[in-house]
Amino acid sequence: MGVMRLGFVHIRVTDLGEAVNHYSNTLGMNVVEETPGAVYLKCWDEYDHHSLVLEEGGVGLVKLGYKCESEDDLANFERRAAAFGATVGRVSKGENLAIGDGVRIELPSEQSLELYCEAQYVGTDTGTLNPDPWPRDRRGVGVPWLDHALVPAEDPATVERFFMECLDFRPSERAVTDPANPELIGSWMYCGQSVHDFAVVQGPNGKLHHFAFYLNDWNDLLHAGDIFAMDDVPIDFGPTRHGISRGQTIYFFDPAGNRNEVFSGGYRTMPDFPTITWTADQLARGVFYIQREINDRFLSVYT
Amino acid sequence: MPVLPRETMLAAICRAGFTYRFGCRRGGCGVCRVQVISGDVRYERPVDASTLSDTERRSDTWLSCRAVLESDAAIAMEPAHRLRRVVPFAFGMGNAGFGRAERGLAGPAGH
Repeated sequence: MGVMRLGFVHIRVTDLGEAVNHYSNTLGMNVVEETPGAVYLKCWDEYDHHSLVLEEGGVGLVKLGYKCESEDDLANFERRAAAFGATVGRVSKGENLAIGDGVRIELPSEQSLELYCEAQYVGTDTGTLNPDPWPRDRRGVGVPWLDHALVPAEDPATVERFFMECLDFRPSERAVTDPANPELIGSWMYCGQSVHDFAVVQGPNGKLHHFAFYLNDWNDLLHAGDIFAMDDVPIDFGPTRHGISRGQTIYFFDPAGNRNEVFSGGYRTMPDFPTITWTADQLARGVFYIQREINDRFLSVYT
Repeated sequence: MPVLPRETMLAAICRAGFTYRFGCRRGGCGVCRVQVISGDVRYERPVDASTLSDTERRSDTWLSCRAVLESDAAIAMEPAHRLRRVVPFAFGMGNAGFGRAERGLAGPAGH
């Protein structure tokens, strides 16, 4: 029961054609459907209709869609979010193409979050009967699935509390100013067994920091980096390791300037996972473990 | 600083061995803004409207990652965004000289 995963990200892009080329040919997603002004894409190992909506015009986040297990979850989360004081509403089936009824919540940090439990089943590219390990016509980086998203918030502690109290997320790792008198800098939170499904860091409300695609390992990450060089994708940082999450990463930008990540590794979490704490004086090591230095973009560039 | 035809300001500056504060390099974040003091500039590719205010646009503020020169130009950068030389060789610089590089950009017809 509960939230299962980040199901889709809906973003704005200044040039739809360039964005489709980036997510389809560079990252390797499949275009599933096109409507006037919007394109829907999915990764090869995903089975729901889409995990990314590109909407033409502007830049930044329209909404994050998190998939829940049941209708009861939606009703439960709707009630708890309203009691928390969030602005909550219902989304009818079809408002999001191929997605069922849902609950729309405006986060305390002013991003839109939608919970749903039904999506049109499309199936993975390799199927469910005696499947190959990956599709032979995989393109570019060949990302298998959407992994997580990170948003900035003026008050990350309230956003963290919202996800804990209303949606049953737990923090795997937290960054605080000082453990003796902690003020929250950021929280990396999980709902299943991933290292994180959602994260929040101190920053401006209503913006997107990044959303990430999963990769298997460090070798796939290097392969992704090679593709980014071939396709002239602007890199923010990496490849490197995160101290926080223990994962490996490259941050880069899509053709509209939205930040993406390819992320591998991490560890598994469970309800009894003991939360890890990072202190502000070690934050650079937490973010970029090898370089131990944060560039002047990473915590100041948002869309 | 010489600039190639249809080259963005950002690309020209980096090609000449300098760096400065820039973000997405795709016209979406607004970090790489510069003020054009003189010269003709245009965008060939999209820039998100929210990256610059109307006042900034009226005062000739441009995103250097997308701005292409149509003539010799002079630009000003905020103090915190000043150029830093990261490649200590003078390739691509012609005779422009490092001392003038922070302020002057030559357009496609320039030296």
